[in-house]
Amino acid sequence: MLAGEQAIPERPSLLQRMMRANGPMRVRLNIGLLLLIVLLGLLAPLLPLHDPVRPNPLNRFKAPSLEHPFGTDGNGMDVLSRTIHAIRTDFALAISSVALGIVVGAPLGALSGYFGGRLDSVITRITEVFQGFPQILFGMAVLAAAGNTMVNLVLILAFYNVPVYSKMVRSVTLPLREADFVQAARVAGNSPLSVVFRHVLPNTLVPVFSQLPLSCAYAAQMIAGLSFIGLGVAIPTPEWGSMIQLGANQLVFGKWWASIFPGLALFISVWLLNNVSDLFGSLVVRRA
Amino acid sequence: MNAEAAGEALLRIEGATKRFSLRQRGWRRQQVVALDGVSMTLRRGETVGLVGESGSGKSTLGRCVLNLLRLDGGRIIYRGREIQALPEREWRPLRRRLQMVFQNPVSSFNPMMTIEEALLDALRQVPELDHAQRRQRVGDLLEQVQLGARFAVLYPYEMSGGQLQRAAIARALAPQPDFIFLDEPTANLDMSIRGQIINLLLDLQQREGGPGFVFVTHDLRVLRYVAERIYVITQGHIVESGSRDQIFHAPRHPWTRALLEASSIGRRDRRQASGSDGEADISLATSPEGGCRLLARCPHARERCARETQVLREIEPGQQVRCWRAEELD
Repeated sequence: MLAGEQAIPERPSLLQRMMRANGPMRVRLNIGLLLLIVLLGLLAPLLPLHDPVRPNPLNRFKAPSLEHPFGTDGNGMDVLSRTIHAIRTDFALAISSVALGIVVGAPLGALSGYFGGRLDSVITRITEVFQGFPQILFGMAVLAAAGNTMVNLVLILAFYNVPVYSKMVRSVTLPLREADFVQAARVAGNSPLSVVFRHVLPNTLVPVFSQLPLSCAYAAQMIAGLSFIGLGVAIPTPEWGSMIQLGANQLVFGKWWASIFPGLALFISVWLLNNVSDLFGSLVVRRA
Repeated sequence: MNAEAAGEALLRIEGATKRFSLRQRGWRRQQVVALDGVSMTLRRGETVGLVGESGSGKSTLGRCVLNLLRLDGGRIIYRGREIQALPEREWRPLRRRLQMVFQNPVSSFNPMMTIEEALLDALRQVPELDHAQRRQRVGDLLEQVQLGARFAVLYPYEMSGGQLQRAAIARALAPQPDFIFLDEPTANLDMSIRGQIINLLLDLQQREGGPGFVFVTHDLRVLRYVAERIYVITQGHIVESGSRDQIFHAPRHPWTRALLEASSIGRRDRRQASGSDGEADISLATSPEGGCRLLARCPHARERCARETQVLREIEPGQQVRCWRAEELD
């Protein structure tokens, strides 16, 4: 046999290709800054910061100083330390809720789009009912009734991402159903489920990838929004929304630091996520 | 000696019929008959040519044989077993035996899979191999179609059409099928690349125990090199069938003659012999009920052609023609 004369070479992974220094400057800058924020959050416990959850009644609403660069809040906790530690909370909640939404939504959409018929009708109706509820009100109601826990918060946000991703994947699946490579996959002996999950679904992920950071940004805003009105994440856990709320009524007295710094952190994160979302799609499409 | 070795058909198509509905404005529905009682036989290891213009139903026939579409009527018999109405689950074991190469090599590969992944995907239906043996087999297959192992890691968009069509042939060969339906495998390729694919097929035909092929094309010239028998199809009808020599040297049906004249090889030999203008015109004009379907375009049409539905009849051993004037046109 002629085989095995040449070894089959290895190929760089998607991650390696993404990190290769040939992307446009804008992509690298935005992803770089975002990774910096994530890194800051991951390393927070190792950094020389004050304890983010230790109150000090004698040290309330102190203006920014060398000791407390971002000042202290109404409980006398260090705002810098809390702002950085809040990255962990907000990003973890946002990412896990979006990931859960995709893991459930994308396969539902692919199944619904590929098989069509009654299955499609059922899945589409259910997702439409999901989307019918006003999100903030529904979130408030569920958190009030089922308990104000982080797990519930993630579930609520995931609940709203499921229809977003199932509809998106369904719409991309419909034209793929008749594609030559899908027919070829059938000829190659794939079962219908295997056609959907090995051949159709991976080809629907480009729009999913470009939507992902946007969903994270939206989820982060929702988390902060719900926490601002006292649902979701409660003090003392560091979280931007609750921090803004804690400092909000002191703004009029000129004590701006307790709200402004977490607000800026939230703003920058959402902004970067939006930018990356715009650029991410093109990066994945090129794949080279 | 078993029946197959004695020349019994591997695959037999009997009266295959397929209609498509086109939605029209309002409530009216127009039906298009893509296949109208097509019958065909394929013996083990044999290469059969199927020639017809676009829209003549040749690709539809392949998709029906491969169970990508359901027939509306007729039977497909593989090794003595009717397979046209089997449910998907019972059909799947046959996938290994019946393979297909698509017309467009670029769109027939999953853009997210490397060539190796695509071939491994096709090899998943060969359960007796373990993973290492399958990877080995991928290398063998690529060698067989004259692509090096270096192509294994490439994505489809990194390869040319000719290279991809070889990879598509490798994919079809992967499970060691008895039969490969080649749906215009050279139509999307350059002239020079076409020759390479044809040579590859000739090479595969030489192998002992290799698969049988149905080679679909709109270009009769290609079949001179690869086909042992040829079926000529138009408007979902077989109009003539016979051995390669019969079709090329003694074509009886006016349509076959027109096709031959349209190809440059035939032109020199046949210009004198036929009185037609030689245009293999592609038009979907429907003929009157009951008459010959090619009436509107046949230079030899007589009054009888408009009245009488034509049937396939054997005029020479192995040669069938759907024209009552076949004998007198010589």
